[in-house]
Amino acid sequence: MSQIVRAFQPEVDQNTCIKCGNCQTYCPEGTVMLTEEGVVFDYRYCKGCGVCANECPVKAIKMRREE
Amino acid sequence: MSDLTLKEAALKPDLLASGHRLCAGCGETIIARMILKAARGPTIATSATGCLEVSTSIYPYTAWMVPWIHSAFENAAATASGIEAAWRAMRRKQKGPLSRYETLDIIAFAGDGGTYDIGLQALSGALERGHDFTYVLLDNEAYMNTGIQRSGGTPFAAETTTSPSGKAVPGKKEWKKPIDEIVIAHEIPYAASINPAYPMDVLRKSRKALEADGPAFLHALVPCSRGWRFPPEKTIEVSRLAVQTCIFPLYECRFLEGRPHYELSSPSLAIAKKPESKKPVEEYLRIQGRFNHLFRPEMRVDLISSIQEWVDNRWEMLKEKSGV
Repeated sequence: MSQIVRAFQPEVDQNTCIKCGNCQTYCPEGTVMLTEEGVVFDYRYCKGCGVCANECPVKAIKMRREE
Repeated sequence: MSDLTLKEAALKPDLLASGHRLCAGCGETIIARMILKAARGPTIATSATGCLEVSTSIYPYTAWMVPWIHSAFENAAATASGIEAAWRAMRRKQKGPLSRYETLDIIAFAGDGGTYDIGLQALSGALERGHDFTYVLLDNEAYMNTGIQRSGGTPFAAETTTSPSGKAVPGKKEWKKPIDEIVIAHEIPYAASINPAYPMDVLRKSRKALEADGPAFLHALVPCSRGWRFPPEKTIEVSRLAVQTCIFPLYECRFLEGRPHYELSSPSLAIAKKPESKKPVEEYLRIQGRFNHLFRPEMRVDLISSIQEWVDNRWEMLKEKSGV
């Protein structure tokens, strides 16, 4: 039952990511998971608000336009 | 008092699932998820009518991973006191489904409409009866769910659909109701203000509120990108500015030995100790579209300075009360 409603989707650069967990804490949806391999997004429920990209201290998350 | 670290909280599963219908970038779920992570074990939640209620419980779906009740707009506190009374009765008789729980975290979530205006008498009654529950006020400063109508929590000069800004009237003409003082006047064991930009502070205060023996009150500032008119990615930025400009200072108040003890929390205490780091309120107003009429077509310096004066006054009062 999930539809894509977002205009932008977040993408993380795992090399710049410092695994601070800010994105997971501040995500309004709870769709970001900080795992051993790095940050993983649940694109089924992400609404593309961009809070994670704005709060990232090293700007490792970019918002890419949805096609 | 057991402390919960951010890492432990991150490992705990979310009790509010993804896929609810709140707007992108809504602050309500950020704070609701943090508070539910601080829960100690068995938890029952109840909501007043509002954004959080309508968007997490669209029939036949629910986003709540805990038992959750909604009955009417005005009685979130009354419902919570009913749950607490039922649990106590079951404990006493040693029968019934709740009788096996030694602790039960009862959390009532209500918006500013359901607290400042409509639910005030139910809240006041529940606080006076001294039920052991935690009341969370998700203050997005207007009736956002029905289309941005003014409430008792709307700040001075904010534009809403029922307090429009024009040539004669600059938005809302009245000041924000001091709900914290009203609640603290009930002599409850714990009251605090929380803000989604400071997650450690939220976790610590929610745990304290849940552990308090008696009613506890948490006042959460929840930025609303639709109603405050700012881009959704700035939710945390706006709430952080509210603390940095001291329009929404973070503090807690405990009732000990017959009198309230105020204490500033670390983000606000740092500003109190270093007054030059306090930002002018203009920065907070400029980022939000609901205050656009203060800057365009011409700067309303008179209104901005009266807001600054109100903020400074209340900040000085709070500093005095907390002895800083």
